[in-house]
Amino acid sequence: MISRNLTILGLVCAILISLGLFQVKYVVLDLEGSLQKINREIYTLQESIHILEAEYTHLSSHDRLATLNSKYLDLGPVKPWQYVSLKDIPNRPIDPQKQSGKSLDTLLQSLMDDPLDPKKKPSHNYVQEKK
Amino acid sequence: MMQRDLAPQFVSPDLGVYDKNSDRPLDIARGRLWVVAGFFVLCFLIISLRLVEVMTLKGPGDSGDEGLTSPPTLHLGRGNIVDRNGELLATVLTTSSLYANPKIVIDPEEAAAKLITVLPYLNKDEIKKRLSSKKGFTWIARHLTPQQKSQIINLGIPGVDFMRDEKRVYPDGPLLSHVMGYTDPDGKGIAGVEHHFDLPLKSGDPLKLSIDKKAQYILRTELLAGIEKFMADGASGLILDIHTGEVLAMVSLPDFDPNKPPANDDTLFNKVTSGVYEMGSVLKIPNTAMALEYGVANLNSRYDATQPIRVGRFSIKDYKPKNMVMSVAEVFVHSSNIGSAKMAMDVGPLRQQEFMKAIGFFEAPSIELPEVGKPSLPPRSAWKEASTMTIAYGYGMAISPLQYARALAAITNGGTLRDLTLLKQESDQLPEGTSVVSPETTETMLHLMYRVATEGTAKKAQVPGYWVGGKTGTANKRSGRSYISNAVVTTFVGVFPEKPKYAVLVMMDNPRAVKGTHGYTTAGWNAAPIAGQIIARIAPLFGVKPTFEVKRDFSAPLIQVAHRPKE
Repeated sequence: MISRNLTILGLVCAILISLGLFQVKYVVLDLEGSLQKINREIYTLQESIHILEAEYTHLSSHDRLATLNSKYLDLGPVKPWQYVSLKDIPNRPIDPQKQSGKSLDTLLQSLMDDPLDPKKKPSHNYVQEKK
Repeated sequence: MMQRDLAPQFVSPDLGVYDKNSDRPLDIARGRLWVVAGFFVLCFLIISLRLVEVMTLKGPGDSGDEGLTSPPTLHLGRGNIVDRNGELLATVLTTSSLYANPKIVIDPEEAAAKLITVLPYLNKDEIKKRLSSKKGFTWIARHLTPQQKSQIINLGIPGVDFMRDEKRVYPDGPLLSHVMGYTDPDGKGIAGVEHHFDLPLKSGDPLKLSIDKKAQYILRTELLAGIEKFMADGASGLILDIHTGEVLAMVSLPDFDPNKPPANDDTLFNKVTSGVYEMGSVLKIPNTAMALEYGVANLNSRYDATQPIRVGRFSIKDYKPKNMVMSVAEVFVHSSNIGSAKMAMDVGPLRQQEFMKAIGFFEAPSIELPEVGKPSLPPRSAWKEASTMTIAYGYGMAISPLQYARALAAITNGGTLRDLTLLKQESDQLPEGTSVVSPETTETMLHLMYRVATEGTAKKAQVPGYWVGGKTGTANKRSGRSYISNAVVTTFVGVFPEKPKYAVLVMMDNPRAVKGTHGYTTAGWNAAPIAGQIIARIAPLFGVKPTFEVKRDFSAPLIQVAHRPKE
């Protein structure tokens, strides 16, 4: 009696394990296929990055940048007297008219002219008119 | 248990006599079942162990047949070369190279004619000859672009095919030609660092040079502008870090494009490393350092420069003679040949040889390039007073700008002579060197060089804020055994900033007198201003902050500086 049940149990287990085995096998095959695909993509992208690095260097060559600069930007090399330290920069002058209250908030507010805020009118004309 | 009691006296005729506990058919069967079961258990045990092994131990991709099971790395046939900041200087690009199997080619004439339409630079007769040969393989064109490849495929010529090829590419063209060198079509390094580091590059290792691409660009552009302005035949330049010996920029003009290297040309010659020259008055820096170091003179020692020195047939004269008795400082600032010669005579030929050997003038300097020239010196037996005097102001000894710059770095960095290198030094520690002058001599020389660059011949090299100190030299060009009377090679050498970090050398080949030079071709009118412009542009790049507060009082009267004579 018991042995027959054991046998049936054993057979059922064997079948279940076999089914599970094949299931796992196909899942693994799928995953491996995806992995290979992704690795191939990585390799292709690495090749592209390599070519782009070479192209970027070529496009950034100083000759080319100098030509573009003279055409569009007109920047020049930094002159020694253009280097200053922070203490050489003068402080922003405080507008005495704005300094109504003694509170720090008002003082900070007066220093923070925000031209992008439509409610506030800027105290300086930040946008230069094109001549 | 029950089976044992059944017929205990059973005797099988063929099996022999057994007692009551012996095997029976059922026992045999059970035994066999145990064996089989044991076998299966063993199999499952092996599989389980293998499962554990595969999951825990990570071996290399064992199942990689055609696909890739681990992330791949791009492997190109040659390592990249980058500058000290990682900017790309040389790399490899994949191309297609066209080859043919002449045995399969049906009509060579038609094939050649078709190929010319896509690749007009090919020689039609040469291609036809190659396609008609009996060989199984012949190249037609290397390193074609994808467009050319698709156009040729569309021609539909039997017997031609493409092979994946790799081409060495230099994205900046001629910017760094002599230092880089170039490779042959099969990727073998022929000149420059490509040749010197051919083996590590071939195995894919990248190379990081000490060169700063931005400084290289500035040096090259300014030298090119200088050649045009002064109508010179050529120029060369060098920028060094005087403490580490790293070469930050090296230019020799005319130069070439390593993407299209010439077969055999003057442009391949590296004036900085291979060319040896009698450099003229810039040799007064080592000469004065030598006199100070050996203790034969100090800044206040006086030399009579009123009369030229007669040596055999010729006489040593000063250019723009001052006809006075000069201090050592004045000899240097006025660049007096007479004074320098007398200083060298006080040192003597033997000690002069000793000093010149110590600062590296006797042998070719070592650097990571195959093209290095050997210096030309008088043989020891002939190195007597005449040579001693002429070498004092830069004639009678031919050295390369590279080896001069190495000595200059030693004299200005506190006295340590180090090898120059084209590789970026990663360590913060300074490389080993030999002590050639004392720090006091360095201080005195810097003092003198600054005076030359403010009140002497090198005024045009001065850049306010950077405390440039330097020396000019103008030497007649040689032609065989004699000198060309009105062709010169002019040199400026200098260091900056106040506590020097960098050395700049500029050499002009046959500059002319142009508008603004008042008829002069001397170094102070061409090499010096070019160097000044270079320094003004590279100083901010190197992060050198200009200082305008006077720290060193150069206007103070020259004080007596005592030197210990060299042991």
